[in-house]
Amino acid sequence: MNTRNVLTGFFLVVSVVGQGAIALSRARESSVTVLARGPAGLRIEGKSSQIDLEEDASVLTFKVPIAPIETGIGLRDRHLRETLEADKFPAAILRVSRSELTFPKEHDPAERTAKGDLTLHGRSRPVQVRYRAERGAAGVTRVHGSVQLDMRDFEIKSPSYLGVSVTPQVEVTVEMAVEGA
Amino acid sequence: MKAALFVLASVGLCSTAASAYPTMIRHGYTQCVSCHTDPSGGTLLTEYGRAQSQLLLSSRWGRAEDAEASAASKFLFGVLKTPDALTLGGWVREGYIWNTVDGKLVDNRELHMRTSVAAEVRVGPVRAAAELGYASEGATRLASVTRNQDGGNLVSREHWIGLAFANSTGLVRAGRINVPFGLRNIEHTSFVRSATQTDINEDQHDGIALALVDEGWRAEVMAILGNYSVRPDAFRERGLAGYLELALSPKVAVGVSALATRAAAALDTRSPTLRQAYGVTARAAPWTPLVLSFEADALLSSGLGSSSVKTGHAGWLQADLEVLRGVHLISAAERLSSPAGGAAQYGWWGGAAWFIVPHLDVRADVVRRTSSDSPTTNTFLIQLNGYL
Repeated sequence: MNTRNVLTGFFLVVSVVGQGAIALSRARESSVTVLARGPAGLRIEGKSSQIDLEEDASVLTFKVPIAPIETGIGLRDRHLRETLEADKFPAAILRVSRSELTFPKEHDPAERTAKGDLTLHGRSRPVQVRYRAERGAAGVTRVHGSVQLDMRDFEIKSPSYLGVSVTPQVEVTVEMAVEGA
Repeated sequence: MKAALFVLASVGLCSTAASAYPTMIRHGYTQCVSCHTDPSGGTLLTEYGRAQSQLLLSSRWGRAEDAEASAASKFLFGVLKTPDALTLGGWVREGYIWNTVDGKLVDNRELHMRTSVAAEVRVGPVRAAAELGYASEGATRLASVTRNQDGGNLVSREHWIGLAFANSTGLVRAGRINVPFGLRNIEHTSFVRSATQTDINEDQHDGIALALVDEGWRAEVMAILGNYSVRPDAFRERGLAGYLELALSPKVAVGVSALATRAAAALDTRSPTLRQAYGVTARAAPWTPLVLSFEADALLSSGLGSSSVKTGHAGWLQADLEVLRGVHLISAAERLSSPAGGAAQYGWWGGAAWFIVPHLDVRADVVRRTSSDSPTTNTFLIQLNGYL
């Protein structure tokens, strides 16, 4: 085998293994993605795998700690924590009444919009939650939910850094697997 | 003779391109306009781009990962504060090159690769940018302003004026502009850049360009009106070029490019020629330290008035591995089948780059090129790049 083939093989293997590892890790974890947009197509994604779900007879409560959210740049993470005053308000909390939700059945996914109550930066506001829930094998339900919010509603100042400002509209997406839902 | 041509081609490395880093996709930057004054990347850095240079490119030297960018990242290390409307920059790049043909050293010397200053002014929606530099004898001729045959010349790689619109997601501009085609990689002697004549060292053309950028895509099209550093007019190419790149995710982008120009006397064929190139590109960071870049271009050349079309292709596959913050191992494989004929050429690149501190980086490359009908050449190049 000549050098060219070895190099080509190396590139292919690295690419396939890398993409495969990413796909596998995503399949197994719950995740929260915060998507903010800047000028001229700038896209800033913050991600975390930490999300807690508490259930009682009437309400589902989703709790996302702010501190573990990572945007891929250390300084930007710090700015995120400072903007959201994570020391004072360490988590974003979404409460949704069970009565608002349609639960999926076997082979019958539920895809709806529900009203919820989001507490962020110490302020609570009603929000619309779009969700899709699909019951899978072994009683595990895969849930994909998203919320569009405006930072100004939560008295959060839109971050701006060296002339690059983030728009106030933010999209939060949650992927998680729930057992026995 | 062939050996001499290979050495001449290798010496082309002596004028290294302006900085552009498509590998910034590793940090989720699929588009360029936040960091560069050119919406398709390269050359002058914005204040935000300067900060990213320190935060993401340079070695940390003990700085905390979440530390603010210091004054050292700013123009002239922050000594001279410029108004928000004015962006300034400048570069000095020096190097040393060794060339061997079939293992025999045939050329070694110091290189003055780049000495230039640049500025961009923003007044409301109006943008104007220009670069002016000095090139030593015989270098960067396609961007020359003066015409001293026996010595150095003033060069201007770009100078344009434009109008931003739609909240700066669009920019229409006219002047001397980098040709929008393919990966804007800094290895300007790579086959994909040299064969398509789209490097950002000296292959700019005068024309009118429209750049658009959105969250999931970016594009630029340019009406090429000729390179007015080239005389007489018969040598000037006129036509269209453009690219569209889609971001499939924050760390994966794919694109297509096209270029079609005609000249009464093309610089390579010296006869009326229609030159076309069509390419596909991909950039991906499957793992943050690793970026893979790929470009494949179909090359077509036909004599005007002739029905025959000569075809060829060029390809480039590069891996950039950041082993430590600021330290990169870079390897690439390339192939060229020229429409001009001859056996296919292969190139292998290996090297390392170290972004030591903001304003200073060093890079070493070994480029081996082989062909069944030409001797094997090796080029060793070390370069030190400083910017103001």
